[in-house]
Amino acid sequence: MEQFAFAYSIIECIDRAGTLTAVLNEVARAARHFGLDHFIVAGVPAPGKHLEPYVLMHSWPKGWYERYNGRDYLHVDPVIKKLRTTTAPVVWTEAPYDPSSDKNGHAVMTEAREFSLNNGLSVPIYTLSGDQAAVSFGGAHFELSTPDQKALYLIAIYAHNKARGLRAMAKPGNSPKLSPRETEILQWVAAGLTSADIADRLHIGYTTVETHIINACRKLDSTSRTQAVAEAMRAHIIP
Amino acid sequence: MINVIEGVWPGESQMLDEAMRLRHRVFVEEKGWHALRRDDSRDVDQFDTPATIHHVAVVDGDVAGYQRFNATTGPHILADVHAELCDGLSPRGTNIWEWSRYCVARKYKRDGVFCDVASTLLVAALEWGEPLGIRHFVLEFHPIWITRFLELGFDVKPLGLPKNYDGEPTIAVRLGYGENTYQRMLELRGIGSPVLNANREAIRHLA
Repeated sequence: MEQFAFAYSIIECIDRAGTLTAVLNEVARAARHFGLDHFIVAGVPAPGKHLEPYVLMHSWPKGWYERYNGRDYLHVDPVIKKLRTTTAPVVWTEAPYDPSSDKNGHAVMTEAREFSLNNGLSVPIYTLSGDQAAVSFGGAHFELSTPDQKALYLIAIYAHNKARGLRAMAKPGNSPKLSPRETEILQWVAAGLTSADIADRLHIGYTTVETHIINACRKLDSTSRTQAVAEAMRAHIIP
Repeated sequence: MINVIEGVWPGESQMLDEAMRLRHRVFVEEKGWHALRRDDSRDVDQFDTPATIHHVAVVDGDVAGYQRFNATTGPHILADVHAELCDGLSPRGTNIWEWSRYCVARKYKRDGVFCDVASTLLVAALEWGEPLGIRHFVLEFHPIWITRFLELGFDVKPLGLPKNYDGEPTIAVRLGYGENTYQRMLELRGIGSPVLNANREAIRHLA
């Protein structure tokens, strides 16, 4: 199955990539292979938040990227609405919406065409911490067979994971921002409490504590809570 | 606490019998895998033999979770039932085992991706497999899980493109793990090792 062989070779290259640029090049190669011109890899923030800080990498048409962000199209985009409720990839022209009642949604879909984004595929990603991300491919012509779409689906998953990992490592020198809860929990970790102890002490769920620790680890580029404590102390986040 | 049951046929172990009732509740009733439905409300198949390794998670006397392992050198799902999930031959080797029927009782599920029981089962797989020299696991699951296993520090190799069963995509993968995977999982999940019940003689069927 040639689509699998192709996807597998791209995934191997993504795995070996040491920079975001290298990952971007592999994703671009995949997009081109299937006749698509543009792609974007981004976290999908909760309603009310801007998309731009969550973008990991993209080759979106410049004018569309600016307009989409400037007008917060993320939150009225019918494709994103569909993506929030599904675990399978969405072909844009199959994202349901009513053009007569959903004027904003209709605007997004039609304006995209001005930038030659006539159709595309968006892949939903769900991380360990429960965050959502998406990888979208689009172009003027969308002639992808089912195996083609599956190959892109797989490539998208690995590209997102690698980009996210590299982006975490490549953060600029300003100190990472932990939420108040993450800071509080990390202080208890530093004091030697287990997650169960912390859950009892704060009257919250054990898994909630774990999720906060995972997020703190990620923000501090750490692969263990011990390391996260060390990094937090180094950054003067905890005493 | 994870109990390891091996060397028994279905029906020869009370705890395993309860685990098979759990499997039926989860896979038939909750997930709708009606092909597995049985009148006696137990999920049992041709891959439950004395060669199968069963892990039963017990919480306060309740069977809370389950998973099983079968050697790829013998009969297993990926080779005998869903070979179409592999592009080419499915992997076989003495150090590759198939991991299947991973499930948690609804009562023990919590918010978030991996609850305590689920995390403990993951750790148990490595704790059991590593000393035996098992280097890889083959599994079939929804592609949504690839991201999460990568985040846990596993190496995840797709074995073929995903296929749709009853409208849901399923993919076969080969998982690899190392010492850092195990450590990372212990750190992130906050589980004190070990999770396997050291007392296995009491439930081992002696031939």
